[in-house]
Amino acid sequence: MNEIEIYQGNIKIRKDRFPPIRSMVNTFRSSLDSAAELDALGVPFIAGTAEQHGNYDCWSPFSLGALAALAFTTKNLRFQPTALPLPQQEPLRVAEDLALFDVISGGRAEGGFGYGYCPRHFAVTGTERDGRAGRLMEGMEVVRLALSQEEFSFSGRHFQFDRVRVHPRPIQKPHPPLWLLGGTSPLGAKRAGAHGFPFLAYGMSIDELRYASEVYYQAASDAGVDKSQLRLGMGELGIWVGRTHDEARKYIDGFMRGHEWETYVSYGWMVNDKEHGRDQSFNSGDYREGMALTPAAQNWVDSQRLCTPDEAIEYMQELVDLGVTRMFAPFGNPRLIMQEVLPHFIPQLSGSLTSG
Amino acid sequence: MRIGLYYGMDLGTGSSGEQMYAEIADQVKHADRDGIDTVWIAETHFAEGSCPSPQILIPALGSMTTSIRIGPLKILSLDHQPVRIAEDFAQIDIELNGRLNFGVWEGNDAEAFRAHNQNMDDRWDRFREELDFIQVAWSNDSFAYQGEYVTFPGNAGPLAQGTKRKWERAPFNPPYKPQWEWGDWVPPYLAVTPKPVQTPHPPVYVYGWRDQSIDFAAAHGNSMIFSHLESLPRIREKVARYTNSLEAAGRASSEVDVALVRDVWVHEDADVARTQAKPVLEAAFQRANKDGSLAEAEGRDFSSEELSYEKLATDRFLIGEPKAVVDQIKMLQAETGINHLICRIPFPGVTHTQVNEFIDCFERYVHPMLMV
Repeated sequence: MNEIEIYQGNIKIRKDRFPPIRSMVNTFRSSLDSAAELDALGVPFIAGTAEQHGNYDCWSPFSLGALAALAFTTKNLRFQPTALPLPQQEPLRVAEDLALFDVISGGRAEGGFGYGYCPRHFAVTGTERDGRAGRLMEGMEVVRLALSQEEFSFSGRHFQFDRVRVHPRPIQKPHPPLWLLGGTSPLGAKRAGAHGFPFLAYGMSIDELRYASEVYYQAASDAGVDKSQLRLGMGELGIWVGRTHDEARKYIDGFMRGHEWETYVSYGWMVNDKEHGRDQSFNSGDYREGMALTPAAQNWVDSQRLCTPDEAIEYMQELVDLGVTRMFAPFGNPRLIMQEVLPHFIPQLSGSLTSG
Repeated sequence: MRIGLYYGMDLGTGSSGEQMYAEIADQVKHADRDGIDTVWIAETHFAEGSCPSPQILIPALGSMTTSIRIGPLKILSLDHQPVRIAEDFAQIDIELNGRLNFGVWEGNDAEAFRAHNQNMDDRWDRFREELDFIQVAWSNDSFAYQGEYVTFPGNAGPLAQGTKRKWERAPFNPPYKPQWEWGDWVPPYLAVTPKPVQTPHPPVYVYGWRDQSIDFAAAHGNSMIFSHLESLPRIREKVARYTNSLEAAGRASSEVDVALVRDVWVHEDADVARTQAKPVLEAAFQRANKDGSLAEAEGRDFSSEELSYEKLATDRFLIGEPKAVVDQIKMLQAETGINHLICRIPFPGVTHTQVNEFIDCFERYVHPMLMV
């Protein structure tokens, strides 16, 4: 079996709106401590964090800066933003950040770039939402050149650079992995394949992912991309793990009163997306447990899979059989997932965790 | 007297890459344990030994320290997105639990400006406006900013008539609607989040040697960091200008730090200290002379004879055995009024072990003698 990499150990900069309410400093410190415990297991989990700009819950606007806090205090964790919205930033600055991060972490930094989705984030950063796909692809090319070439020049539609030499040079050669977090559409897969970037799908069903992977590899083949550059990953799996399905459902209810619901599912790529259309009624309002959901919200809930550990393993194995080599850990009972699900894919975890 | 460490170009001891940064991390951890007050990381670009992103190194140093205050010397006018600087360093202040010192200047590296597609000619004007914007962003909720260089948010309209400042707070238009109910509506007033831990914001330190930097810092109640490139007579003049400008602006000296970067090296044997420091400092000042920064700071050109260690040491270096260095620091303090000495160490040719020994020696012998 190929080595499977799992995202665990997210670093949190935020102010929760629902319990547990803690100071941001305490939330951050607590997430560092959890990441350090994971690092001590000796497994190269991928620690990540998303990036938001101008959020009411003060979610981290600087994903690389949050992850950099672990550079000197860990040895095994790898680091990848999930995702850094590159169209909202200046790519040379991001390249310099990533180069330095790779050096101080001993070659454990990776890029994880997304399109950005929320009009407010674009307004805060002074960038345009229209044309973000073009800015993302050009931005990723600039980052790749800056990290792999001693000196580079670039002349594109959105960015121009002349004879730039980024120092320090990153440790990983030819450059740290640069993942495209491609959203819910096969278009992202096509762009990633054509440019030779590893692709992390998000929120796709198995069938959608199967189609997207075909598009990905075909686009890469058409562009003459070396297969060694290609990798397939899966973001939020849409599965919830509990000892029973009823237990798993409790974790969805908790999720729906928090950041992910209000920021992504309620607002985000399902609403203001040309492919899915706009539905104001999908907005969360103030969700209370047991209240009736809008049809679109109910649709999302119904698409989530409630799993026992064995069912989760079966689903994740399907992803592995499709060629996925990196994925988020499923949501749900964290102890159950670490002790009974993940060891199936990461043999080093077996026996390294106490039960109970 | 507060004591700091300074890491600029040629950050380390001559090692490079991962080893250099591992050494810096160990030195800063050492300094934190021993009681050094501050550490400063200068932003430098596009050369061996440069640190282009203090905003990446500072969080890494912050999580392994508990007391030492950490700050960049950030080149504001190089950046295309001042809102990203406001966001990044607000977050870093949270990661450091309120230990960020925000050091800034307008920069003078022509190659860095060229590569970043920034105009050097208007860097001072951009610096002033961007620093104003960042402080407004840190200390206010939803607002709009319309300046010559900065517009925030991207969809901001003209400010209300009668607004003399470049910004205004969002008016209250009832009923209040929390952000999680906005959907894709974007008002023309937005907030930069998160806010830093320190209120109203982290202390601002302006670095530089130009009169406009000094007058600006004094007028705004910002602390000042004077450069290691300047001789003692120049520092005396500059600090006097700063304190006079503070008074003229109606600001109190208690609002500010008066900091000075100096090349410092202490060893129980003074001859050893001089032998270790001499070749490195002569080379460093020759480089500064060649790239024009020495002439810019001092307001005149230098002959090669003037760049000898013996000539430079008369009014620039603090090097020798502990008691002698204490005397030099006390003299400096009495003659200039500085209350924060930032030691420019380490430098190439000195080993990592020697740097930690310096920190131990400084904290064991020198710092205690500086206490009132």
